[in-house]
Amino acid sequence: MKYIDMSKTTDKVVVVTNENGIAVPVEYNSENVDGILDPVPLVHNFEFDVNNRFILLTKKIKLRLSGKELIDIRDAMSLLYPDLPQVIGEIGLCSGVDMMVNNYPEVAYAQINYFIKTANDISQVIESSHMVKSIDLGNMQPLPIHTKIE
Amino acid sequence: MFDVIKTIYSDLLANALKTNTPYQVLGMSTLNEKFNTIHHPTTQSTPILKYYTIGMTYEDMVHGEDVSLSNVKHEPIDVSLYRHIPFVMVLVSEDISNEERAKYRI
Repeated sequence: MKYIDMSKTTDKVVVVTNENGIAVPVEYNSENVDGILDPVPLVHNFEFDVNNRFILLTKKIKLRLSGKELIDIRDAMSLLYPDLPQVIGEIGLCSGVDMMVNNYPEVAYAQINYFIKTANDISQVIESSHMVKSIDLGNMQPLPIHTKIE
Repeated sequence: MFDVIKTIYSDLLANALKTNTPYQVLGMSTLNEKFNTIHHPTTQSTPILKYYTIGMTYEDMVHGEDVSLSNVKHEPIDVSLYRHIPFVMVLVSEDISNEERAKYRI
């Protein structure tokens, strides 16, 4: 496992609306939305469209691999699985507790929290290569569009 | 969007963090258990999401059979990647420096 530098993560909340087949993202500003402090149930004469608007929360995490690491990873792949393409196929984002073991940091309770499918061919990497992979940690849920029926 | 599967361990940890209650680690749910590097912290601390691990592609595991890709997806109870790959390789005679070692775990 590799330690992730979380000091440079960025958070975003975005509302994505389907406008004639095109996904239009707009950054969400909670201070400009009417009614959220005093919500009123819309029980009568409203129509709800739950398929065309979503609210998406993301925390962007950047995973960096140096050329030296990529070469080691590629070499490890060809040693362990010589018949398979040298492709990073999946990433596990893990939690754990850091602790010192024999004067160097180790992890206890290491658990995969997210399996992320990817496809990074590293068969051609060289010393000057590097890889930065952005992961959007987050969640998306429908934000229904309600229309008053006249 | 990424193809992402969230594990039950993620939700269990989120519940512990939000309620500020002790995190109960389920048996046989850690990579420490898989790789037989079990450590016992001396102080009570809640795990934090701050590591990642990499693995090789798994489509080849279906051996050319006509199998839906959803059949090779992880289940939320899975503990491990299909094939873990190390980030560093060193000769036994040339160990890495402490500074380098601090980037890696297990």
